Amino acid sequence: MATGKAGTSSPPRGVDDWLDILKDLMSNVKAWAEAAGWETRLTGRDVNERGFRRYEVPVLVLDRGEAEVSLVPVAREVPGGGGLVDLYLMPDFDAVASLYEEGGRWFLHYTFQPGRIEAERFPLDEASLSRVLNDIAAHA
Amino acid sequence: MPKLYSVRFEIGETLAEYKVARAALIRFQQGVQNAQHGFQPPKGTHPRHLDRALEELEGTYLIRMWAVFEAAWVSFWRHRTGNAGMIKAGNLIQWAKGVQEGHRAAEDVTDDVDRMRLYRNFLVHGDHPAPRVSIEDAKTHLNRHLVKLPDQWPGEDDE
Repeated sequence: MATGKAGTSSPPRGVDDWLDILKDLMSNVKAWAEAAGWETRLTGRDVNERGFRRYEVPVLVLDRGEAEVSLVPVAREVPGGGGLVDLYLMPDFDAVASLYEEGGRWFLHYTFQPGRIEAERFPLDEASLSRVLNDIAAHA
Repeated sequence: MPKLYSVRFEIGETLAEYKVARAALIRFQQGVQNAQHGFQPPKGTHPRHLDRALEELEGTYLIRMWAVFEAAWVSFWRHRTGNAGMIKAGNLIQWAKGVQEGHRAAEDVTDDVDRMRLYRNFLVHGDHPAPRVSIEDAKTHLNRHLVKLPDQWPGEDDE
């Protein structure tokens, strides 16, 4: 898959860094998810930022049993922080969890089911990802 | 090259933009009704325009959402058939029944999408009344139908 290098002009400042960050994130999540028994598939989506040419970001699709979850980059920068990547439950494309990049680290925001109201925030690592994916899969 | 996740994301963004636009409009309407400072209707408008804008808002975004979905399917239809022309939306949805390049779609997904198409036509043309489809349901129906498409396919710029 070609990611972010098509086109004629240079990408906006920060996009190359964002793509590098996403590449690392997708690589880690892919390895952790596969170790937990998820099948993975890498694809992409185009991003059209106002005033800049189009570029492509990676999308990681995770599949296990009846559950399919997609990791989709949402924004290179959000107010007060770095990038945002959401986890979507498929096929309805419902956002069920968010990953915020803060100072080079990723934090998961997720509301565990059932009965929880407040989203919890915790660092992304293999254990936390597995916990969230298992919860999503259990309620898919 | 058209990408399935670009389509899905744009449909999701359309729903999210509708939600914030509706929330802002309701808040503005409340401010106008209560004569709050800073909540004057724009020059040349009346409160009835505000009421009408709120009534029409969901349909406006639903039409936009359908356009994203239909454009993706027209692009795929052109790629698969080599036909550079146009196809009516109803015929396109029937043609799409035979497509399964991605996942298998649910049995009733074509009927759900067709109901949305008829409602969208009613919103645009005003004739042939059709039952309302909420924009939340529309987003779900369209995404469930999109599973039939591959992750990406050559577009007109690529061929």
